Amino acid sequence: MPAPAPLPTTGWSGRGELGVAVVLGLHVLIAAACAVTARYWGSRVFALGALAPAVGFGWLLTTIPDVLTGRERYALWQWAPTLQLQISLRLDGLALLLGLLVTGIGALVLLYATRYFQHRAHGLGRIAAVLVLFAGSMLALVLADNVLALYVAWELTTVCSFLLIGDDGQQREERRAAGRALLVTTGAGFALLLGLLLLAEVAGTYRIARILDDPPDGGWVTVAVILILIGAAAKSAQIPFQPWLPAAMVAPTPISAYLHAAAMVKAGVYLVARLAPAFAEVMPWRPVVLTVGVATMLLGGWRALTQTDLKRLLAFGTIAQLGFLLALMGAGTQTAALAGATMLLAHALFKATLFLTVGIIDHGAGTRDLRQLSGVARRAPLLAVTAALACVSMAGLPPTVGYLGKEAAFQAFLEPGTGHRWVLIGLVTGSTLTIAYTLRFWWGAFGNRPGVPVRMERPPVSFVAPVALIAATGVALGLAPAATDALTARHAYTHPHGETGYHLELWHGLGAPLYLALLTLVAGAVIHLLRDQIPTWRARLPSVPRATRIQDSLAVAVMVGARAVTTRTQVGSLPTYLMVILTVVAVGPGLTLVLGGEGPIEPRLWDSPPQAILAIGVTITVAGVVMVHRRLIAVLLLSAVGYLVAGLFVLHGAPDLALVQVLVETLTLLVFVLVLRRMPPGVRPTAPSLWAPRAVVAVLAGLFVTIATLTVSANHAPSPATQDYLRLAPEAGGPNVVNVIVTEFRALDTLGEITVLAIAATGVASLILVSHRTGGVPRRETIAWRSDNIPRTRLLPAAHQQAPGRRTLLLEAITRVIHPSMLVVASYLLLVGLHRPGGGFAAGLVVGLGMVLRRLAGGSRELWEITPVPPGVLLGTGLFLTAGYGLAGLLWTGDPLSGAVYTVDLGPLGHLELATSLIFEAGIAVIVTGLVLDILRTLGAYDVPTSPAEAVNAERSAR
Amino acid sequence: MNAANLTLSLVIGVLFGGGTYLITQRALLRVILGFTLLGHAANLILLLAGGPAGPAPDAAHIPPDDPPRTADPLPQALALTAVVITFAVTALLLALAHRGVVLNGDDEVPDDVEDRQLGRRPMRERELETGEEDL
Amino acid sequence: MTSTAVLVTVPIILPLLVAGITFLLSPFPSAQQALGVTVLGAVLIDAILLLVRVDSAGPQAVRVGGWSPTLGITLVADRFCALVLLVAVTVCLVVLLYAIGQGIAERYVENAPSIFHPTYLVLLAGIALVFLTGDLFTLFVGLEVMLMASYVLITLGATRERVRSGMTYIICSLVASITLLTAIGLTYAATGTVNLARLSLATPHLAEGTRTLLGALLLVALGIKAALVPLHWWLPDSYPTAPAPVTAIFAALLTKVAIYAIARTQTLLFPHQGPSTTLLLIAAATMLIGIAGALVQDDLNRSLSFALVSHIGFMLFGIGLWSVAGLTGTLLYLVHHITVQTALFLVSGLVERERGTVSLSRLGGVAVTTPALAALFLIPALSLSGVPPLAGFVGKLALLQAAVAPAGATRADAIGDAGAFGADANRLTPLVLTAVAILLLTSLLTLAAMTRIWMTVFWGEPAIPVPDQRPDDAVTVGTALPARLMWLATTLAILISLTVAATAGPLSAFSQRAAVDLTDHDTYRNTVLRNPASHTEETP
Repeated sequence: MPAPAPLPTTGWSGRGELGVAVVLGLHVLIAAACAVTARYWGSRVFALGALAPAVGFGWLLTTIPDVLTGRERYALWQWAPTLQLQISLRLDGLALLLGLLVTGIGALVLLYATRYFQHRAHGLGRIAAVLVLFAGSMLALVLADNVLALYVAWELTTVCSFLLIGDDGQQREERRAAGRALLVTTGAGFALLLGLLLLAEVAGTYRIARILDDPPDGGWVTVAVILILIGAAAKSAQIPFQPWLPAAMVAPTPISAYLHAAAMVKAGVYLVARLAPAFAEVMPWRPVVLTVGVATMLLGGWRALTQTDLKRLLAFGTIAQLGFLLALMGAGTQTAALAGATMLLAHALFKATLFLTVGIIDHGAGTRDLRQLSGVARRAPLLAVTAALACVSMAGLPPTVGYLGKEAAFQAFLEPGTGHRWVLIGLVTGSTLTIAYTLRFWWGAFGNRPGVPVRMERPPVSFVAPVALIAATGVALGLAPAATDALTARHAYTHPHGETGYHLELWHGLGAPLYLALLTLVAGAVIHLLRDQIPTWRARLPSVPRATRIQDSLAVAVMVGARAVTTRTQVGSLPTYLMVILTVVAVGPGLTLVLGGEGPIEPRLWDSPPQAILAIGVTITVAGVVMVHRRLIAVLLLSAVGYLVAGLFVLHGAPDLALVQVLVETLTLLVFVLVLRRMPPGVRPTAPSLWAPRAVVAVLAGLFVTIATLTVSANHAPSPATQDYLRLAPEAGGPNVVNVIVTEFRALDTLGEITVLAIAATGVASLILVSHRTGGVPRRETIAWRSDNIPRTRLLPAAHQQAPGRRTLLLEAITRVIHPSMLVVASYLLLVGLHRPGGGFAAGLVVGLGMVLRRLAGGSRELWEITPVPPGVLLGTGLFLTAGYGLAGLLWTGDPLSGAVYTVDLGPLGHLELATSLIFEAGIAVIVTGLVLDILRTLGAYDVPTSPAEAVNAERSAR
Repeated sequence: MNAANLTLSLVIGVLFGGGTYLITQRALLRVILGFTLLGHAANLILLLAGGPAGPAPDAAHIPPDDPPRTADPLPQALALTAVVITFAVTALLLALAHRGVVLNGDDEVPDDVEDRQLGRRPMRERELETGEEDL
Repeated sequence: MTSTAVLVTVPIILPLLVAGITFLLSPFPSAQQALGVTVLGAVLIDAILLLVRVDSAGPQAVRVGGWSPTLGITLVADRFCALVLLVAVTVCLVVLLYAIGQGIAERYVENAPSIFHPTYLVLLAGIALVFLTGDLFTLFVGLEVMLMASYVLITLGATRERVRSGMTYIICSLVASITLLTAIGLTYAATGTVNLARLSLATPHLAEGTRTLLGALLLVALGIKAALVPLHWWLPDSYPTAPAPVTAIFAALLTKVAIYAIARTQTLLFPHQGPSTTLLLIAAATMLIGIAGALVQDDLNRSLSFALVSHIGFMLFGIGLWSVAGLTGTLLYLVHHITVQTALFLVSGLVERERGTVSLSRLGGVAVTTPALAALFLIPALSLSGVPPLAGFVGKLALLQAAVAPAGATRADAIGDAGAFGADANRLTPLVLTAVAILLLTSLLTLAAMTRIWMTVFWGEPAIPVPDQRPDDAVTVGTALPARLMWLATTLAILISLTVAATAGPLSAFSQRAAVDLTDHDTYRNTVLRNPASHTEETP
């Protein structure tokens, strides 16, 4: 074997690179053109489509001299180098052979299609475009020199096939066939991808040529080989994947002829041929390839003998031939490869011819069932001759290319050393069957059947011409064995093994191959004569599990399983989900705690005895909250918990936290009460069957948190920052460190948090203020408003509006007294926030509480008296202020959310330190106020009806 | 340094357990109660994370001992943020409960209809595009 | 420096500012729309500039208020977050256009204030905050901002089923938030800091048990939001009922934000030697359970939601490999999945718009009635199934390569695979191989699910359009209303997804640099903790 020539990384000889770029690009362009122009041109659009492969064919012809003399061509475009994803092409003997077939037959099939689809109106653009795209992808596939590029083209052809089989998906048969083909080939395709990746990673290169030059070995290569063979077998319809191919015959004939006979189904064989020179010796390549190939050949041939639909008959014939090809290409010897290449050429030619023939018959006679065909030969003699030529080649008789291939094939396995007699026997049997179904086909298509009416119309010559051309090529190549040999031998000689110098000849003299050929001929003829017996033979055979059944039941099993899993897990009940989630929360990390095996912990009992007292209080109240089923009581107990927790905060040295906690708790309580008014007083007590598991989860969670807290705080790392905070707080804003952190050091958190507040407010609004008919609440405009003709007081003007029965004068009085002072307190808290407990939140919350008070005293209408501005405006302003403060800091000091402190001298009153963050605090206060107002105007908008009459009014005002 | 505090840890556990129990209930109101309890638990954890109790961190009155051991201010600030966020969420949840009452008459969390139906609906033949033809 | 500060801060603060303004503009929807689109455009430009900046100058840190990381909050922008941010903002813009086209934006004017635009902007701000923060607690705050906005958006219109799904969604998210808060508290207790850079210094010295506890707790907390099996239940029950654009943006971003946070915290705080059994198992379970659900649903949106869950597993798979290659794959897949999931849900929205339903059993023959729509579905569907040459294939390829690379000797270190994960970061263990097999199986099942949708919705005999059940909600059925903007936005989303595939070259190279950033903790720490002269003195 000659030392591998170094591979150029970029560029063909300029012309070449341009050539391939133009050819592949042209396919895309023309595909687009077809999609567009079909509307106007009808089926003539296919002629346009034929242009692309035709150009490709021409270009390949020009490269023949170079390639056949060993001057291979390379091209490389980068796509994603990081992922080794390169469009790297290589034109060598094998690629040339396949390329010529793909482009040549593609062009003729598309020409044929102009006639075939003449009477069809819809979907022509789609079909033509996809067909042309397929032609391009297929060409790219055989040219690909990068495993990933190959895979990409590979899958592209699959998708095209899916779309072409499915057509417009109106017939169930089409949908089913398309889906089967897609899932089977793509599924195996994923195996192929993994195999290719493994191979490339082990080889250390993704360039196929390099991998072949220096094949890797090792365990992973075996795995890779198996995976790759799976992919190839599925694509080439080998056992056990074959059923998708006959099913695909629902597609229009040109598609069957091109994709499912001449081109796409060859991809698997091509890949095997491509890798055989390097990997035929790797276990389990050869046994697998030969077994699967021969078995497929026999099965296909046998099944073809019982078909009555001519297309189906050909489909099984294709399966058989693909098996034949796989065995030859995969065997890994020169002669076998030579035979394989020749058979591949032959098969593409004769099978395309025969499919197209069936298409013409189908059109002319309206049926493909050989039981209803008669006298076709008389009506379409040219067609009959054409088909006959193809049949001769299929049967492997001289002087056709089929004969050259068949003889070479027998020779290949007769050679000493190959030592696979059983393969030879298999191939001979297979060829016998081939001859039998070849006869069956011609007899079926063109024979005369007494009693069957002759329905065939004479097909126009232009319809038959392309077909005849293909058939003729088959004969021509047979008559010029030297030329054929030249085309195919390039590939054969890439094999390191079994150099015998065998060449294709029409006459090798008398010898075993010839005798075997004659044997198959006679035997095949006999089988054809005994054709009526075949069904009875078949019945006698033991029934084997059908691949179809297996695949279908697999699909069903997947669906049933998926449904079972889903219905069991996705039960749609929130409590169940929460229990699972919380169990994971407790158990998952909990386990790590247990397994982690921390040392023993000696916790303090408490920081101070009062802590314990409060703790007991919390425990009791929590127990209450959990057990009580009266909503109101539960809520009251809840706020008790809140206040006790606030107490714990105080004990821990967190007055600010405690202050906010108390205010928030109070407000929460009030909101709860507002909502409770609409709710049934009690909740259904939980049934024991339900509470038991919940209790378990609860205990688990509680335990986990307790232990986690103890463990972690047992080796607590005191924060180094504390001292810095104490030192820097005054210059940052004021001595109250916590509030300074909130407004200065970690102002961004605060910005986010008040955003949450603002959006929560809008959420409340959007939930409650939905359109009226869906039970919204009254807006100001919906309320009869007569405030002009009543004495207005500055405070609580709406109080007078209330029904006398519900006015609580005492509350009004209190409010009138307290409310102003609350505003004062609020502004105080706002100003001193940085020095003493307080701040924007506290201020806003106090203002809010004031509003609540007015709401309670003045009734719901008071809400629109508190302030004319809607809450949205408050929220917007607050958000604008705070975010604006952040942006301003960014623009002035270059640091977002940075502030400064100014000292204002108030003369005798001393001086006041004002931090710019006051703006920030104010914004916070405004937003909190907005939130409370929003809540009051939505949840608090109703006065609870005290009398039936009032209830009616409330309903009316709601409507 | 060992800051483990049995009392607080137990309180946290109680709050967390109670919250867990309530949040897995059907009545949305109880869920909200549970969520509030869980919030308290989380805040206490934050506080405990600052270490043992101490005088309030106030730069105006720094304790004399050196280094001055006040309570760690940062967790307090974080807890402050958490408290406010919890409040916002609670408000929204209450509005949701309110809406639920308006729509369904009660505040129970209904099951997902589609999930329930999936179990009952017979498997449609078109779902499994398989055939009887003999390939 | 300052310009960097601007670049890093704008995506967070500008949307908030404008949100405030849109509140005030609630009476003028058209003004809100214009403002929303403008600001998103501005943020988009900002994100592009930021991407360029960090790619040329490396990670950037901005100290909010100028305070040192010990005291204040530091925002950090590295390649990882810059890329994710860019994609997120792009998708936000596309979906906003779609939403405007659908009319959802004006739909709720009757509610004072008109809430869609401010909420949507706040959602973006929260997401940006999560991406950009270098502080664990601020991450929590960012998540809360994002979630609160999402609570409001998912209950838009407050119809019966939206209230139902709102309950599921909100309550599950709350559990996540509480868990996260607990995790943060315990972390602070153990380390005395919430700054990620300082944490990355502290965690290695923690006791084994404590460290795994914190790692697990963070993973679970964020895992709920990322919808990892078995914490995913809420997602398929809540997403489908929201208006199409809302579902689209949720599916595109919310779970990914959690995945981002997981990747950030796990890699930085809890580095791991070699593939992590736990993560790979979770990933495998997520893929299978998710896709099983997608196969059997009758509701198009539910099927897509389950598919979403399943593909979250892909990203976790990349993280679980604990290698630079793995993280590269995760990042690529993240980018792909954000775009493709958006496209799919937008298409589903168009289907509902055209045919009045998303129930498979009541749809059919759309490929005949609306061929363009079929094309718009086919591309992202194939991309999701990882069919080449679409973006999904690129992402899956990166993940697979990361997994099998160790089979070949050299490529691992060719990628400069070392960093925090040590030299023998990844081995091709049986576990990894099994996970790979499951990943491929999931791809096949995804293809099956998509084929099923294709065959029932787009092929078959055309079904009669279903009349609009909810005339008062955002979706108006029938082509009476011109939905040009919706079509445009959907096409745009698909074009973006195609661009991801077309630019796979630079994108994958960038992702790899980003992945290296993620593992290069020293640079990260230096960026954050380095004491720039212009700032307050560093603590000893």
